[in-house]
Amino acid sequence: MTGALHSRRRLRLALLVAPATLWLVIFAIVPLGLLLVMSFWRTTIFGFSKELTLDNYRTAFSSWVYVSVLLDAIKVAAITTILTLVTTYPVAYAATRLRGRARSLFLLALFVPFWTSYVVRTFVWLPMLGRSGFINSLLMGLGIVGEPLDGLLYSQATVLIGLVYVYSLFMILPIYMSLDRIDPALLEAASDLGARPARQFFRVTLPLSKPGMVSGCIMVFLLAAGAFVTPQLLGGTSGIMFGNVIASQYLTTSDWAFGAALSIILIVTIFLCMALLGRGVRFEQVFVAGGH
Amino acid sequence: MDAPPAGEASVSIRGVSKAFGGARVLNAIDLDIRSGEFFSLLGPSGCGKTTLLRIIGGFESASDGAVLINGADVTDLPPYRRRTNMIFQHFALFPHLTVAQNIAFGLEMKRLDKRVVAEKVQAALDLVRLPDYGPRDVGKLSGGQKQRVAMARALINDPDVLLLDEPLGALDQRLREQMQEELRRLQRQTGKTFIFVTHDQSEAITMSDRIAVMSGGRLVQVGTPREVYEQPAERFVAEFLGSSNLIQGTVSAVTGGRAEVRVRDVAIEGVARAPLSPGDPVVIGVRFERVRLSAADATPAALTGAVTGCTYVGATTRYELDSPQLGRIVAETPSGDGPTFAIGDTCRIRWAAGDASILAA
Repeated sequence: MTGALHSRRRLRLALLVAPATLWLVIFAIVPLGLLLVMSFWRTTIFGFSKELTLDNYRTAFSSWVYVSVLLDAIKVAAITTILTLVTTYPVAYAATRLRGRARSLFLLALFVPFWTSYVVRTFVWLPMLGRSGFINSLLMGLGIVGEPLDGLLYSQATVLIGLVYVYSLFMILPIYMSLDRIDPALLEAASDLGARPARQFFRVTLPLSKPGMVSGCIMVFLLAAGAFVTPQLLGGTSGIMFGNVIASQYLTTSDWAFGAALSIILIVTIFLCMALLGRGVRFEQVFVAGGH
Repeated sequence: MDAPPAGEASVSIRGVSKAFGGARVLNAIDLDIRSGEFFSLLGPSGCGKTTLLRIIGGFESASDGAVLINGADVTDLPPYRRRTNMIFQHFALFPHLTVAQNIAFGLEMKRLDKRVVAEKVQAALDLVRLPDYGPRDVGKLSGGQKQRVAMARALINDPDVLLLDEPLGALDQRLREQMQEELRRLQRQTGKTFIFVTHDQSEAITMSDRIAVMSGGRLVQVGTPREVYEQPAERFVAEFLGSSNLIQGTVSAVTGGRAEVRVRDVAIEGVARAPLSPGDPVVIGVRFERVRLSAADATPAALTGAVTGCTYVGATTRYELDSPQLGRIVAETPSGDGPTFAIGDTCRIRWAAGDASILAA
């Protein structure tokens, strides 16, 4: 009797988690597993040789080229993350200071550019920063420079600007949400206890928005570390990132197995970075609403 | 009457008004709160008591008027420049800080020496009887413990005035009673002026030195608990504090502080709580527990009533009566002694003339 009840409850639980499990299997575990297996294969002119071998990894680490591009990608991703955090925090904060309609309009304005494709959002920087682009026209019109600046496009800085712009929403949203959750009474309490507005911010608002900042940083870091479209479009030859190297294994040289190995290396590296950064941050605090 | 504790005015409110948009929330409030007294702002929700408290604390600005604390005008000062501290309704403890860090917050803002802060925090923890709770996470405290931490966090700053915004509202009944005693103890021990906002009349009566009863954005009556309970100045006070019979009538004569009121065919005497003149429509307020019942006798012109309902409340028994002279009357008598009546019995109804308050209708 109780056994039957027990098994029925178990069955119901199993049915409840089934869709999520299925999703995980189809979209995360199977592709990742396939990638992992493929990284130990070898690409031949007849397709794959399915003997397991460490050749791909040996190639990746035998030359300094791949490692240095990988380190570069991590560096660019880290700088992008910091720049995004610093530039979007005030925006998210401003949003929480608005009320009613003004806030809705502000948030809408933030979202609208993200309704277009990632590629389009990257492309807008070409007419902005190009030789005869908006910035150059403005500078020349104001007489600040005599002839157009060339360095605006196709440099590391351009790649950073592009990446910060393209991923900013992934930072703004979690920060906005965690700022919005802060009970206004806490700021009143801080003021009551003698904290001027600046100290209220640094002692209450900032620490309480940490979960949002951490979750935004993780998102942007992940996305930026693997980016390849933005670096290619805005960075030209100087914008080669690890993502581009991987992409070319699939798109140009058709060495899928080697591409898979490089992907695995990137994933492991990102994971290690996050584990290093994420010490002291509890994940449930970051991903679960109302974490504090 | 209980004499209110002597003391200088600690907080003076001079003609304070507040309007939100077009709505007037406070209407020209004048009030002096004495140093070292436990003062309650009592009224139903929406009466403006919390707004008044928040104006004293600096969280709202008055549309008009001035607030003085210890004689100094603080009307335009932000909270962080006032020597007041607030206990918030849900305590507003900082969730990212430990109990000790929460309590130390105010001293930290004053950039006090770390060793001094640690000592004072321990003293504050001892004061609220949580000596070992310093390193704990505030999220894991019970409601009563949070309350104590909030008290410690406020009192450690040695404020001139402590403001309490319905701090017991979030607690269950038993804990509420414990914390009422605790608050009284802390007030006596520290000698601070406490301004306590509540909508609970029994809480205000048992805890306060003085009470200001508020309604619709104005002060209706200010006095000791005994004064506001026994000598209600207005019908609202008689209804809001305790339970009163309200008998409608018309003033027939006024002599000194007394008035005679004609109710149907009888004349009833009582204490005039407002300036009255003959012909004024009034209500006579008589508290349930001040109505005395006895077996009907042959006294001429006695007030009588037939028992229509009887509820045993424990310490008291509540009788509902239908009186040919007065209409519906409720009497609450001690259960232990005195005569008991059954439904259908006819009783004689009496009260002392001093227990009848003649109030403007």
